[in-house]
Amino acid sequence: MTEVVCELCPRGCVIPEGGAGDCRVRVNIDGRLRASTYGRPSAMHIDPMEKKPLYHFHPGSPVFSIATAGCNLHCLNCQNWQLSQSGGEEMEQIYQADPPELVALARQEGCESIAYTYSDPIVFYEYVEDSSRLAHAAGLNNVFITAGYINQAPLRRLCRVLDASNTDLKAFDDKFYREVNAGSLQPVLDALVTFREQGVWLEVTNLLIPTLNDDLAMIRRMAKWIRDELGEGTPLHFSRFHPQYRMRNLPPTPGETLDRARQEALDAGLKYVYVGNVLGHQGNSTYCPVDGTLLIGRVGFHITENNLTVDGRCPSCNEKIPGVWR
Amino acid sequence: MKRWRHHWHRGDLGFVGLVMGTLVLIGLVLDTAPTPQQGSSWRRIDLQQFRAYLDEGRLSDHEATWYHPKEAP
Repeated sequence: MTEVVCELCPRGCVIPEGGAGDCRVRVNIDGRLRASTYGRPSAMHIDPMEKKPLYHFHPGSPVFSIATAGCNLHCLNCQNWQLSQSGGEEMEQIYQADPPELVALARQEGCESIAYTYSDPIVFYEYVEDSSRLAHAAGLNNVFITAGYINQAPLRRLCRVLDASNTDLKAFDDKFYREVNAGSLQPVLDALVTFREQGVWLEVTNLLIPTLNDDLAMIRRMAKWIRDELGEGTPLHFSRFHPQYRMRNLPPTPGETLDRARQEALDAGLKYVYVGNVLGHQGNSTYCPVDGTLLIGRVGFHITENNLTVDGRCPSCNEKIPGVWR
Repeated sequence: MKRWRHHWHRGDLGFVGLVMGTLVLIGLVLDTAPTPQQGSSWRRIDLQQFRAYLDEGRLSDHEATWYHPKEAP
C-alpha cells in the first residue's frame, strides 16, 4: 500500500491507495496521484467579467467560465456546494473538454478570457495550468477565481500563466477560517502577496456575514493590511451574504453594514471599494479617487457607461486608474 | 386539584437509559468527527463508481503534479 503526500495545498493530505484528498478529486490509484477531473468540467458558462467579480480587468468582456467538482475548503455558506462538496464520481453532469477543446470552445464563443471559477480551481490545478498555457498561445487571458488556500511553490509556478485573480479573503481572522471554512488565514494572505508580486492583476472579495465577520475593527485591520501589502489601488469588493447551505440561520447582510464596511475601507486609504450582490448600489460603480468622476457605471453585472480614456485615465483630471483595461 | 405523581417503572428507566445512551453516542460521534488538519485528512470514495467513470472516460487518470510517495517510517 503506497501512501502519497499531496503538496498542492496547506492540508498536506496523506492519501492511501484508493482514497482521495480532502478535496475529493485528487485520488491515489496504485500509488500515483490522479487529477481525476482533468478535462472533465461539470460547469461551463459564459459570464460577464463583472460576475467574477473583476471590475478593473477587461470590463464588459465575456468570459468562458468552467469548474470541476471538488474544493479544498468546506465553507458552511458555500453557494456552489453541490459542485464543490462532491467528488467527480458523484457528479451527473460531466463535460469532456481537454485543454485544446476548452480553448477552442472559448474562442468559438467569442470570449477573450477563460475563468477557472465556481468551485476552487486549485483542486484542478493541472487542468488550469495546461489550459492556460494553450489559452495564452491562442491570445486568451486566464482568470483565476479562488480562495487562495494553496502552497507557495505551486502558486508561483501557476502565476506564470495567469493574468488576473479575484481572491476571496473570507475574514481577517484565523478563528473564522477554522470554524467556517475549515482552513486557515495565513496561507491566503501569503497567496495574495504572491499574486501581487508575480504581476497577476488582483482584486479581493470579502463576503460580509452578519455577526461572524462584520466587525468594523476587523474590517479596518483588513483594509490597512491590503493597503500596506497589496497597494492602495487594489480593488476590494464587499459582497452581500445570502443564507444558504449550512448557514441558513443568519439573515442577509443589511445594506447599512455594507455601507459602513465600504466607508471604513475608504477611510483606511483604499481607493476602489465596491459593494456586490446589491442591485443598483452606488458601490457597484467605479469613481475617480481624485475628483469623484463616474468612470464606469454598473447595474448588477451590466455596464451602463464607460467614461475611461483608452489608456485607462479619468477623463476629467487625467488620473491613471490601475487595471488592465484593454 | 389532582396532584400529579410520578411512579418510576422499569419501562421508564429503560426509556431514560435509551435516551441517555443515544445522547452519549451523538456526543461521541460529534467529538470524533474528522476535522480537516494538515497531514491528516483524506476521504474514502466510492472506488467502484470511480473506476467505472474512469473506464467510461467521464473521469480522467491524468497524473497529478505536486505530490510524492510517503516514505516508510
